[in-house]
Amino acid sequence: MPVSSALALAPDLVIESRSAQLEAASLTRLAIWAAQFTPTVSSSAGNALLLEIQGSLRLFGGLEALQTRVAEGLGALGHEARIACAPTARAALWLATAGVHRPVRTILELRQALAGIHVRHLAWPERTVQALLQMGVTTVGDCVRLPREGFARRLGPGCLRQLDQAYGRHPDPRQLHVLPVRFSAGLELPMETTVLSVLLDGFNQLFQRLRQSLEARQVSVRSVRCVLTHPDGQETDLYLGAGPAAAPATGPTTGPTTGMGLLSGLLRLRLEAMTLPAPVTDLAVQADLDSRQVLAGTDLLGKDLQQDGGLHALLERLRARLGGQAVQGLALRAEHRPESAWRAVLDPLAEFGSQGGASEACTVFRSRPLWLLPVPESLGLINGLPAWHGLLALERGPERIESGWWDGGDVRRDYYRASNPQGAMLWVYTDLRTRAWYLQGIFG
Amino acid sequence: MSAYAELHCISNFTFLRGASHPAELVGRAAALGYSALALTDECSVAGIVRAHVAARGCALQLLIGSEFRLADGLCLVVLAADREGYAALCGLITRGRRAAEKGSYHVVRSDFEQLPAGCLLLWLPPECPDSRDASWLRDHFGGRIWLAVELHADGNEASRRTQLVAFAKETGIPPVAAGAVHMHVRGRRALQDTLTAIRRKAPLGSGTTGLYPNGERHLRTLAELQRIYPDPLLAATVQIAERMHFSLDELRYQYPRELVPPGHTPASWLRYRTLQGVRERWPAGASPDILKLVDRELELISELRYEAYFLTVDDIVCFARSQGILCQGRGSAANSAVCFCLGITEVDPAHMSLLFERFISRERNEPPDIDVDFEHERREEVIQYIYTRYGRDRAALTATVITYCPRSALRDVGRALGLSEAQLSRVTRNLHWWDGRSVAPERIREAGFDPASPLMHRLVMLVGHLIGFPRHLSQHVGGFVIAEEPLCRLVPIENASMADRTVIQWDKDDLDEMGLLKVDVLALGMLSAIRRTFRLLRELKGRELSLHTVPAEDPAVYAMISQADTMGVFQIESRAQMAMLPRLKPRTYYDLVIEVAIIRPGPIQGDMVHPYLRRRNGEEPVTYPSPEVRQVLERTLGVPIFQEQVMQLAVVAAGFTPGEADQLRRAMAAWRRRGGLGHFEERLIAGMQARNYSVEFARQIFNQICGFGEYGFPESHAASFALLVYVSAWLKRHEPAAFTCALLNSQPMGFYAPSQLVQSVRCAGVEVRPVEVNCSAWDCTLEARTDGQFALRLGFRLVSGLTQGAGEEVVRQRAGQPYRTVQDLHERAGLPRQELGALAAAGALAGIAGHRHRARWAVAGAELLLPLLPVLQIAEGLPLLRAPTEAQDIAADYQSLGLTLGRHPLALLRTHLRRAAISSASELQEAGNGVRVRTAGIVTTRQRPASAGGVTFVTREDETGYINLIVWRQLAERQRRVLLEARLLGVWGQLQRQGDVLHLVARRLEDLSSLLGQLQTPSRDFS
Repeated sequence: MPVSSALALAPDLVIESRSAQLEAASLTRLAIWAAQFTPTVSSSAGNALLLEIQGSLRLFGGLEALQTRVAEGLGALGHEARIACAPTARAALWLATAGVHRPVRTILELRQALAGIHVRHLAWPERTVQALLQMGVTTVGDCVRLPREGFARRLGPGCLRQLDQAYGRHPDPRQLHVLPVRFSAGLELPMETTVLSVLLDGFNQLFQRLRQSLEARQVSVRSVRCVLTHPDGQETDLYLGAGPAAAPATGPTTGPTTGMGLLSGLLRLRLEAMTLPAPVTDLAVQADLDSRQVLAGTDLLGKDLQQDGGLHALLERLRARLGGQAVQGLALRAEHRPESAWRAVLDPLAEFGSQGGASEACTVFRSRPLWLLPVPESLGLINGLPAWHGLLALERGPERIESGWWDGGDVRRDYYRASNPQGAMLWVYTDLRTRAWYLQGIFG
Repeated sequence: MSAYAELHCISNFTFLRGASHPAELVGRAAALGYSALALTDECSVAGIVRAHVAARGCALQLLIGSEFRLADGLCLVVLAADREGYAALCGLITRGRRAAEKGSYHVVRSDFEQLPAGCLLLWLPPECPDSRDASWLRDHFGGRIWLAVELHADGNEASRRTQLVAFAKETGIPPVAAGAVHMHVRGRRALQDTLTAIRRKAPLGSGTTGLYPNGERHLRTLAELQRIYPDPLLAATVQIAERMHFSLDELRYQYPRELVPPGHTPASWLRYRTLQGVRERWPAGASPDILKLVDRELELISELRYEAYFLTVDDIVCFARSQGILCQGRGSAANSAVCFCLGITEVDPAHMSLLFERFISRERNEPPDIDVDFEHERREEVIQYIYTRYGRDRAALTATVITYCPRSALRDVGRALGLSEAQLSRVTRNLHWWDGRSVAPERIREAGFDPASPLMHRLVMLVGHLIGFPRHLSQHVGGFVIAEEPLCRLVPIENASMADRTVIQWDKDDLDEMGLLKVDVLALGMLSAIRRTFRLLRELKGRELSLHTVPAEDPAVYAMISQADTMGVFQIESRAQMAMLPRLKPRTYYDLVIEVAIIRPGPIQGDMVHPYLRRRNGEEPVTYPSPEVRQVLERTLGVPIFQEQVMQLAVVAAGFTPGEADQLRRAMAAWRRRGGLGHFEERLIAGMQARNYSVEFARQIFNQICGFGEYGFPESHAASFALLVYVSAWLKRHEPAAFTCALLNSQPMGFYAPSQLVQSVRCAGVEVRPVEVNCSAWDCTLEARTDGQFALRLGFRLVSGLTQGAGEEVVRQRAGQPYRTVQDLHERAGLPRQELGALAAAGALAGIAGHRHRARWAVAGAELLLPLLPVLQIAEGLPLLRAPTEAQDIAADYQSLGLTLGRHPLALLRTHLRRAAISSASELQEAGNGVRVRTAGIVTTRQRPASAGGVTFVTREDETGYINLIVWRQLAERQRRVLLEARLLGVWGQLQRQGDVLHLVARRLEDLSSLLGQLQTPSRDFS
């Protein structure tokens, strides 16, 4: 159903977009969690986990106890699970999809259970399902009643193989989950200290190990966690790089060689800017290795291949020292109202040149002051004429601006370039509705 | 105070730039005291006729021009000073438009170099004008080129003025003031910004480029202009205007001459052709009355010099006849003895007591109007013939101006205001097909928005302005303009979106205003169906029939019509017509003429139906306020039903001249869109009072005129339609199998879907046979039965998912040797598996493969064998497949064919329905007036006629018949979703019985669609 139809039926509907990526990450987390019940965990179809539990039954006190533990554990993690149990992986998967909870233990039970499963629950291609339904074939039981060769010829050998797998007539090998790799290294300091250079030396050793590890695996990291442990067991965390909030990275990913110097520099800035609550006994560096990120390399002579790295490094350094929000850029907008004709941007580099209207906006700016008052200042009148530290002489204008009705901030103004007796060049306007005068900017 | 002429002004015919209608601009310029206004839409004169009409009677001189942006960036305005200049301007626009895709244009300097002295030019200089451009312009247009100085309070006015005046002096191109006007008043600023945002496809506030900094581009007051421009610049505008002498009134139109062979004048040739026709129509010799009538008509035609027009139509009709394409003319001149003789119409003047002069009048000076309907599937041949015969520079289609409707306006304005796509679909989806021309706040609230919020307020306000704005030019359904001289000297021609089609820049109303004649070449499905029926009868029974040889005035046909058994019959098959037939009980051809015209929004809204019925049934005396009125209204018992009668009334009762009456007709056609009946009201009522008619009668006539509006139906069209009504009814009555077969083969057309047509013909006792791979053809066919009757065999055309090529291949390969198995079919016809599947889904393989499930299995297993391999019989076990249930079969029938020959789906549900105390359609027939009942039926049509005051009519069917449902506006709004979405609609309601006509007035609706399961039941919805 298209979103528009759904909305027409339920106008209050809240629409969220589905993220396959987040779902996959979530399933991976669950697979790691499930490894506590059996070493053979595999995932399937993006939304199922298969646990080989024969060997774990005794350890966990039998099937029912195990099933309960898995269900409760998943519930505690905020997931709702449909659990099924069968002698073959394929059958378990189908039964779970069909919502058959009763455990199936024997081959005889298996046949009965499978026979009733609707073909829609087999995750077969929609075309195949439709073809089956058009032949009046609705269940797995109907499928296996058909001649085998005929079935394979019409619906493909894959479906027949899956049927055989479900009934245990054909092997069903599956790829097991491999736990992810994480870098973690620690260092015990010879003595409690708050001395910056000692701490940095220690971290640099750890960074070197991180670098070796990255190079060996040809992967990179997006962020690094530096941990300083205090005598009372408290820890001070410092995140370098993209930061823990998984904000989109502003600069390039930290590669092993180019990055270590940068990491070290950044860490120094952060440590300089903070006061440690207590002396430090231990250091540690942790990082999740990110194998999707292709490593940015160096050439033979070790020259940095990323030319704008310097500017990014400067921005990252400024942000590290002043705080993320304190570093902003300016960009133009195609707007006629002066107060709306510019905007602050977080990353001036990314914005630079991307704004289509900027060049058009530029032409407007020739006759405007760079310095705008945060809020236009109301001007007093002398004999009905505007004044600011003396009577104003209107030198150029009017430039009429009537715009902005669409956001409720409609203006109707005549702008003038004016000067006062002190020789200040001012940008003033009269509001065409109220005839009141305002100062909006001062020419440098 | 200086006088001023605005020389640069665009209207909303410069799509998505201009923010005012041409008439608004003209009206405002006149009110401000401008001496002239040039309408200079961008590469277009599409709005010029409207401006011309608006400027009539104003002191304002209207100038005609157009603005161009050349491929190299140079911007010019070309003004037409005389007829030659205008022709050149039209030629220039034509060249520019034809050289580019629809909606854009492409012009270069060389296009301008040939412009004659009658074209004056304005140069719209860029920020830094180039003196090379200046010298090119001066060289080619010296003495008729000016430099436009356009100042819009941008802060640099003074320096810009100085700069341009200096530049003008330097280059010798004199400066002139101009306004680059985009709107008639400053108040259109928000709309103009919105149009820019729509054009740039960037929501406002997102840094939309191209917005104007202010609203100065409107028609400014003379005082303001005087403040901005020095006097010489203003005076120059008036001097230029004084050099312009062209008005659209000068356009003269000439018919093509090649229609008359050498040695003949148009008059003598028309007489010759007509007398030829007389001999064909009356081989035994025509009566003196007929000959006298023909003579009088020819005389009138000669006097008004319309010979060439009749000959043009004659030529087209002759072509159609030579190709065996059935056609029929209608319109003010079509039902004349001359047209009957020429074969343009089949309506025999002897059957009609009508006079030609009623249709074409000496005094009215109204151009004759002949529309010709052709078989809908073959009209294209006629169109291509016209292009070939006259050439593309002399024949073109009329434009239709597509204007913003509420839905498109909401969508575009909503986007410009930054609504998300989801929000937009929420607003527009709720508009559904039956909302009127404005956007009601309830719709906004229903969509989940607060109509009082500033955003919604802005939205509704802007949408209100935008509705009715032209959006683009499209092609008229079939209005051809044909001329002796190249058309592009009269009006520019541009590309239509269809390949090989060109349209002129004016629409039908514009042509009317300009007195240009058009021939409407229209498509009519019923003609295809009738021709097919004739052919079937000739092939199967050897019976030759044509429109005029169908036996006339057959009582059995009128008996069938009076029982409203008219499904499939032309025009009178709609729900409203069916409800009228038993009351009107037509007995003669002229009754059919009235029947066709009376069930129209016009007569219904003018409240003419009931008075007519009462008088016809003798329940009310037939009276006339005066002998003059009696003469006009006698044939309709004193009740005006036809458009012509209203105009005649204005003449005889209110003292209008025929010319004024014609203006009234035009105003009637447009008042709903543009208003402007006010002064007619005064004139009409005053005129009637002066002639001693009561104010009540006068007011009643005026209300009837308003009600008629654009929906008034002319007698001249009704007369032609009535013939097709009679012929199709005769065929339905006497040849139901052939007629239904032809109807099915002419789909889509008419009011009913194949399912209803098939049910209806089965009720008439005709055997209908299913689609079958070894029997069916692509079209539906008739099969002889042993008892001498014919059975209707459904054709492959009904099978969804089967292409015509595949269907015909099945027939071709079958010749003489039926298919034995699906594998055989697959090998011989070479159908892709998907098309085989379509046949299986339709149940068409039952004869060779068994039930649908087996057919599917067989289709899935069919394989094309490689020719080089020995034929390998694939031995397979027989599959164990369940047969489909009856319900499954019915659902599959509907899904594939849209109809079933099995039981009606509701027959299967009947036990269930009866338990819920739901009555069937046949049970309702027994129930009395006012009884409260619960019913259920499958929705076949929904209709909300504009004339019915918000009432929705729903037709529902069950296994026993049809139930007509009336849903009042209040209920419809309360249960909107059920009403629009239910396929099986349950209703609690009250019976309303008027004679034989039964309606159910709904009190509460319920959606029972879930009972139908997978069944697909399409409803035809009309507004």
